[in-house]
Amino acid sequence: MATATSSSSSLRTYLVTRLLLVIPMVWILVTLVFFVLRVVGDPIQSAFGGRLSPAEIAVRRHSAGLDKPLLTQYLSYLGGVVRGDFGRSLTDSTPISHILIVNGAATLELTFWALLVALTVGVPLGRVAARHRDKLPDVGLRLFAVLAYAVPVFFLGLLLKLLFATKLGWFYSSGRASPNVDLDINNVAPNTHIYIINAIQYGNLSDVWDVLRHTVLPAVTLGLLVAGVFLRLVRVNLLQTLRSDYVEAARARGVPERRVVRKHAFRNALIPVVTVMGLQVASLLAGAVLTETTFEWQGIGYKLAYYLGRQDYVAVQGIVTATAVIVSLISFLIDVVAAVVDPRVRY
Amino acid sequence: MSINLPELEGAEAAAALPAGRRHSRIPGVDAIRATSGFQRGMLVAGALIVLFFTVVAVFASAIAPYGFNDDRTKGGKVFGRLVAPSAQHWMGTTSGGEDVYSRVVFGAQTAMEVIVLAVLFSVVVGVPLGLLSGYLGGWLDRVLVLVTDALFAFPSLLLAIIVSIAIAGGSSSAAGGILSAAISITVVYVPQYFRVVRNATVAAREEPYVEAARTLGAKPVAIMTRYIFSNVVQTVPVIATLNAGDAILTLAGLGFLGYGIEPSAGAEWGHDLAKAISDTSNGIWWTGVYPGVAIALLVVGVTLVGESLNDVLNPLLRTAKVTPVTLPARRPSETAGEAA
Repeated sequence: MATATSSSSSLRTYLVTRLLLVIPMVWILVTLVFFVLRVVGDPIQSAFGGRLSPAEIAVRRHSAGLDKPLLTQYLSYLGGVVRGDFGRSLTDSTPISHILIVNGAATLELTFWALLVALTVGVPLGRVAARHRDKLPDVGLRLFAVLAYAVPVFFLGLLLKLLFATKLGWFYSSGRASPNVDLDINNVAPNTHIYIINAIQYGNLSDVWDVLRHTVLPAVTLGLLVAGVFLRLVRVNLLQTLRSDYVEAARARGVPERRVVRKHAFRNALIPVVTVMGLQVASLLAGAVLTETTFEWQGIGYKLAYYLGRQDYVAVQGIVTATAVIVSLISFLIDVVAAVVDPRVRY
Repeated sequence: MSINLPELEGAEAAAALPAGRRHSRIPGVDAIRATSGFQRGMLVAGALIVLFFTVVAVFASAIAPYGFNDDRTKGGKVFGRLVAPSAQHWMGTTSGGEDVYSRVVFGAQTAMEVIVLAVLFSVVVGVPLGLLSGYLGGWLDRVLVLVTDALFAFPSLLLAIIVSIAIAGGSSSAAGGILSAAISITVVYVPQYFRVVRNATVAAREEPYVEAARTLGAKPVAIMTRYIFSNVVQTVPVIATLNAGDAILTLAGLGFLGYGIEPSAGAEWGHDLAKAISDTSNGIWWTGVYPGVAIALLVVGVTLVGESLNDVLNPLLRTAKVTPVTLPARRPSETAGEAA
């Protein structure tokens, strides 16, 4: 009883400490992004310079509050971020929070499918590789993992587009749904902006099929990138677990190797994978920016590339800041899961 | 991506070498000797790929038939747009009418230059920072750890974009050269060196040999540079190799999004791939496939070298290399003695 209380209190201490660490981290990132982007000078000038008259630029600068002292701007921006207000884009004055909801749903949908692909491909293959260490399957799978890492996502996307969209015509090469389907499924009552849910709500099976045919290529592209990481992780962790004393003890008791892997080692080898998933969130989001651009998938990354192209640095700042907040929160959540699953994390 | 390397003692690394052979003076030979079978194959294959790209990069202007931005021969004959691969243009031409083969060759030069500079910069910044932070401790250490942790958690590509916007001064045409691309990428990798060196320094700070140096009156700078430095930088080469692979991808990602190298400053594979995406719907493959294969191949090469080095130097992953032992044939008298 006493041990149970102390372990739950150590969990609580860990979680509180971890949560308190999120705040300075987000603050540092927000501050860094703000000042680094302000070094470039006036965002109005870079967005409209050459297209608007100096007088018009001055008006816009005033209305955006960019003529105030830098520190005042910084504090009001920080205040906005705390309230969840990341400002408006300069070029089409869309609130960044709107982009986060509408395009964020698209990114969420993409990363969900990608993670699904990554887990179903990476985890079993990692197990196979570890089981046959240094034999042919291991060699092949390790090369596959290196390739999955080395091939840039947008190049893999390009290859898949060439083969499965242009040549074979099985899947669509861009967008999230065909135009007519897009119109239909955005009319459902609670619009989640997650197309697969919307399509199911709308209740037309061919629409669901259409959405899925748009999803396959981007999801596989982004998923394979992460699958390689999972494969390597599972392999290395399983190898280390298979060397541990308790596994050796199981072998000594005469447990067959297949059962040793399945019953004794595999689950324990998965625990570190959960921890590392927290670190993968960042690379998954960076990969999402490139994948969305490749497939014109209208997520946050696509929007970011769009505003980068139009040199709308207020929008870029908003999206990047929001990404920083999201990444910090997700990695916090994953650390919570890891702490609950693995008592060793709580130190 | 996080790289977690356990500390490695020099003796342990030496123990990985087959007994009876001395250290070689040629760099890398020791590492190759420590490997066997598949691992050695990986290391050699990776090294050959990297060597190949280095040669291409160094002699780019001799290898490429045309300049990276040329759309006509010196005689003024225009190449034509999106011409399929032929004897004239081995890899076809782009939508801008440039020779793909020449752009891929010059792309190797760009990539190599940026990567070497970026890795060099991040080591030069990260290692001393880590030493200082770890040795001095205090508020400087806490602040630096917090800042680098924040940077580390952030998507690296976005970080590089932000920095390259700042360097370019808001207008993407101002500074799109090799140097600015290298600096944008440097920022991404500094935290890794910082972390590794800082943690190793914190551990080494209390070691008896450092204590002894301090007692003898060595100044902090001397302790850091002469005593601690060589003991905490052993993992840096492996990290640098693995980072180089990652940096190539970051550079290509930047180029793909329209940042990094300006089209007029040099050929860049990521930029060419961005242009090639729209060609795919017409079934045109040569504008994208060649630069893409170049990126993938170079990253594979660098990664194979880094991975094998890691495997060799990391005792947790190392498979014991068993040298077959041939016992001398037993003499009958010994056998008799044992029986008795």
